[in-house]
Amino acid sequence: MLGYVITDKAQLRVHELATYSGYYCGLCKEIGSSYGQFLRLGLSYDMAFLALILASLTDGSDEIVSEHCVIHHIAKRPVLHDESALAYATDMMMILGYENFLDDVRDGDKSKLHPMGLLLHRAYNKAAAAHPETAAQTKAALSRLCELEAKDNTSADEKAQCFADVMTEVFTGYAPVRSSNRTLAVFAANLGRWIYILDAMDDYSEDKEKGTSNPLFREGQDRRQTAGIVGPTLYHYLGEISKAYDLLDIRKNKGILDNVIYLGLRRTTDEVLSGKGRSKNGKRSI
Amino acid sequence: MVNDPYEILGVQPGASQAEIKAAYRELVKKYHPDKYQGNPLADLAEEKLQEVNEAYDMLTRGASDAGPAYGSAGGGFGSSQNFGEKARVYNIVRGALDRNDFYTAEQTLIGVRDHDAEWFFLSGVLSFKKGFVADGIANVKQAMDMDPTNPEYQNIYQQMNNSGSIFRNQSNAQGYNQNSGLSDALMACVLCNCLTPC
Repeated sequence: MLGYVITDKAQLRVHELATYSGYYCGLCKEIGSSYGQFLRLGLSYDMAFLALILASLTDGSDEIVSEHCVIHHIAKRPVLHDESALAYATDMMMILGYENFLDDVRDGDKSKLHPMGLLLHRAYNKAAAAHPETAAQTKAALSRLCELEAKDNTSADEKAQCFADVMTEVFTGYAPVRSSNRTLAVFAANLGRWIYILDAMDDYSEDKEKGTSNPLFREGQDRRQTAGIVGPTLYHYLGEISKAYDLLDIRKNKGILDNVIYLGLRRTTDEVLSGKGRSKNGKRSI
Repeated sequence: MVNDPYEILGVQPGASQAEIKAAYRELVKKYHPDKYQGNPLADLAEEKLQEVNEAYDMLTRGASDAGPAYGSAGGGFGSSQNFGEKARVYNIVRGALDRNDFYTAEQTLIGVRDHDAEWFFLSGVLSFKKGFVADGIANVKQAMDMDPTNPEYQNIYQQMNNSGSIFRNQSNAQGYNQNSGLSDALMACVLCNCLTPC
């Protein structure tokens, strides 16, 4: 994913922030121990959210301890341990990370022999072996997306649907919460659509400048006009996300999840619509 | 699942009638059929609401209020009066849309050469019904731009924004700050303090 699924930090309570950091740092440590130190660099908040929401559907309290780590070696950080949703999210990160790398190679942004690619490939094989169905369906959905993006005259909705399919796979492959899969699927599909359209909106000006294609380009419209139409679309997805969310049986960390759903996603939406997006400066990563 | 009515309503055992009522109201809002109209999870929401209604009935039996009854409002999309050949064609499209016969609606719309406001409007409704939300909203907006005084376009556009406005209200209730949160620099400072063990 692209780092859009985040909290509105200013509105988090102190203990919520500690738990949230615990998931984030826990994810990082999990990557380090399962896949090696270098791949920690691909860490994103999106996957911390995945772990958080999947874990919230199970009982048991979060085991958070203060520890040192390679990156923050002076002050200790809260780290979550022994949470199987973290291991699952880590595997998903490797699957999506490698697919993202392949996408960069196709776009000519990276060489196939890039050292990170070799590491990612090995990690991908390991993760895909653990989740063969998810890996295969994700690959299939992304190649449908590729085909659509190569053609003219396909609607943004069709492309957004491919990304919805990817997210659905990622959110419904975690065995311990299988009974919630129907609701999670609707949740994830709308999150996927939201991410895809949001990302296109975020890239609007850059794509215009470079002359690259963008699913939101419409003849005779400028960025402001497009944002006027895309806004209601994004809010529609947010509405559908929150409806599915309301039907999930959340057992813990509801405050943090509420923060992401009702405040963080909206903050990101409003910032991208107004042109103060996130992927402006940095290279995006899954 | 435990069928403890207190747990279902999220109140402490022994809560007052006022507390029960307030919790009940919140949950009815949360699972209301109007909110889930056309949503793939509508049946789940209905189940939850049913559960809430039963729990509420159990806890208020004997109290003066009658049991609640919530039905979903049907969203009809009737024909309007148009005249002439084009009107005839558009009425076919409207009829097909009412029956959710997307194929006929789409084929009929493709046959229309001149894309006026009504064409964009009906295309938009078709897309939206098919789940192509981005396209649907864009086309109905286009219809509104071409014919800004048409009340039906405004009305349907508002309906399309329904899900979004429900979200906006929930988000506002959670304390969303329109004028953004703290500045990044200030935030970084706050964060350091939070995460450094005191």
